[in-house]
Amino acid sequence: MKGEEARERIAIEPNFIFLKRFDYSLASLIDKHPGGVSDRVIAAALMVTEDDVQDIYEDIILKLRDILKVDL
Amino acid sequence: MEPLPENMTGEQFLKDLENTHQTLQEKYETESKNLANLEQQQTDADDSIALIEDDIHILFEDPIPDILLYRAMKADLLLTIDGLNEITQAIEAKKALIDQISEGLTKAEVGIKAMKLFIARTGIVLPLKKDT
Repeated sequence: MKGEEARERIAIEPNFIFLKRFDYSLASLIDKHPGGVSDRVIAAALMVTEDDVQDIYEDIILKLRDILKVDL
Repeated sequence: MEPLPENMTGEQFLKDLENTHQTLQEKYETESKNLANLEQQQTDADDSIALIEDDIHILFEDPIPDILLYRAMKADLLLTIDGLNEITQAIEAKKALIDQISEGLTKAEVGIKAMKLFIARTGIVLPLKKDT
């Protein structure tokens, strides 16, 4: 599978991740790691850097706090 | 043979004897009925004990179904009804929270990739739809 095709599938397919050992399946990854995985694994799965993982995650949390009116 | 009491005629004696016999006969019949009742109660009690013994036999002779044994081993605890209710409430609260997160991320339009990142990092499984 080419990198370009994988990036496209990551962006649009809900279950696709770029990790062959999990059969390219997010569901399979969560089945084996129900508590979540490290940033290194996520970075590989979504073809981003670990810094990107941290940035995207923080952005998600900020948006969620805003929408859910959570004030910590 | 003892003599009759004074002032008692032979006729009176026979009448008293008849009355006494009658009284004893009635008492005998009453006690016989009581005995029959007691015997019936004993039989009923024996039947009940036999049924209970059958139940106990069934309970201890039949093997516990594997799935129940597995669940008991996995849970490694005995739950009270209160405990089960607490777990049920916690599960419902978790479902509600997941719904809220899912709605929130959809509203925030973070995209499939970010949602997958959230799932992979937290282990919280959210329903995902294909981006168009």
